[in-house]
Amino acid sequence: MTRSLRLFLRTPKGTLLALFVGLFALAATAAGWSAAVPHMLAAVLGASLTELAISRFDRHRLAWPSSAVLSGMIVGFVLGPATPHVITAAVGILASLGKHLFATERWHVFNPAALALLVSVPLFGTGQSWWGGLPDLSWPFALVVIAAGAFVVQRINKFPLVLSFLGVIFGLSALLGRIDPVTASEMFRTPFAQATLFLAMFMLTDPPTAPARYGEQLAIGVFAAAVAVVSEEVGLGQTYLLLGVLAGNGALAVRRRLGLSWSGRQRVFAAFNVVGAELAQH
Amino acid sequence: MAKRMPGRLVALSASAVATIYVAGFLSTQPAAQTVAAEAASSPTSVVTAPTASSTSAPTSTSTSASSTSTYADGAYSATGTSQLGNVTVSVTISNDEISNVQITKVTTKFPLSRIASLPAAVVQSQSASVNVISGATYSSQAFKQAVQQALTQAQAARSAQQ
Repeated sequence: MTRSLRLFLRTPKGTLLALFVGLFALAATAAGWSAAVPHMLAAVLGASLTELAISRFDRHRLAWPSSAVLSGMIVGFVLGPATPHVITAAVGILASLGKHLFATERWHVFNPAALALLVSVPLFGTGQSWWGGLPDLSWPFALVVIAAGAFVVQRINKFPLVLSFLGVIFGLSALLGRIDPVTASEMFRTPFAQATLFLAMFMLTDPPTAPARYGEQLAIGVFAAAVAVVSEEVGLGQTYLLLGVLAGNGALAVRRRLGLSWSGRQRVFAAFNVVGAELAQH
Repeated sequence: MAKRMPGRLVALSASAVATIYVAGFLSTQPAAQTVAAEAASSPTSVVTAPTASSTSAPTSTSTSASSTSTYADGAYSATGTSQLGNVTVSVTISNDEISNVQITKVTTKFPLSRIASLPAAVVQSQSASVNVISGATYSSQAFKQAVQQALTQAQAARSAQQ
């Protein structure tokens, strides 16, 4: 193992990537390797190649697109393995584009994978599987997800965010069970419970879009969970978890009192202009 | 960067969340059992779909049929609904048999991977009578409803030929 790889694996991104590979191996045994591998490759390639293209046209030094690989894997884990590969790749592309389209000078505003997955519902009619949460395996494997998630959450110091989110989403669901017991019962069972865990531990905690201060973590966790539960109850269907995390991201952006920068959008549009000019020459 | 949350506080908070989860799980158990019982007792060969909310349309005309056949050959598309979303399927009939079933669109919450095994089950059983998948009750029911709608289309096309 090279030194640079060892150093990378010690970073939070490297740790998360290693854990994702492990989760993928487990999930693929249930979903079928022949379906899972090309599906995941489509998502990762879509996201990472787009990231590289934007970096290239932005005159940045080409570097290993670790964030895009992680975003692509999240896209792959949420979309079902039977999703057409073209659509999976397109959602991966959207993840990288969204990261640059909605960005400040320092951060991207929304979780790239969550934003792309939400947009893909009306755009491509995609469904969601959340198979990365291992819902297709027996319930003890949920403990694997929890252990892997807790390891990452501890490293990036986001326990208040995750625990407040989970506490409120399960607490509110239990209370609403008095009114709508069928919907509430799903929230505590496969595959909804695993999806909630996966989102809380691997998507809500994305460092650029998650707060650092504990007070903010608690507030954003509560807010995101409340939005998710309300979205579920008003019938917004499969998007409720994504709406929760994106609402939390938006609230944090407002909290930071930072307006959207045009620089990210300009980079994307400039990239399209360059590609268009080159195509015109040929 | 904030200080690290003390390990004991993490453990205490996680225990509280786990308690909330278990309380919610147990309090909703009767509803979950009711849903499971309804799924188990519902007829699987005849899917009683709320027709007002179902849509179906043949995507190709029939090509051949013998005098004793049930279905007209062709591809038929139909959509089944559930309270959590829709499932659209394409059912291909060849030589009076269900030769292929494809899920073409899903808008339920947790759709495709949970019910990915159902198309093959329909081809194997040659009917919409397949088992509801635990944990994907609504998606399964919407799928079965869609298949039944498509088969009804194929039967109607066959009747029209005779």
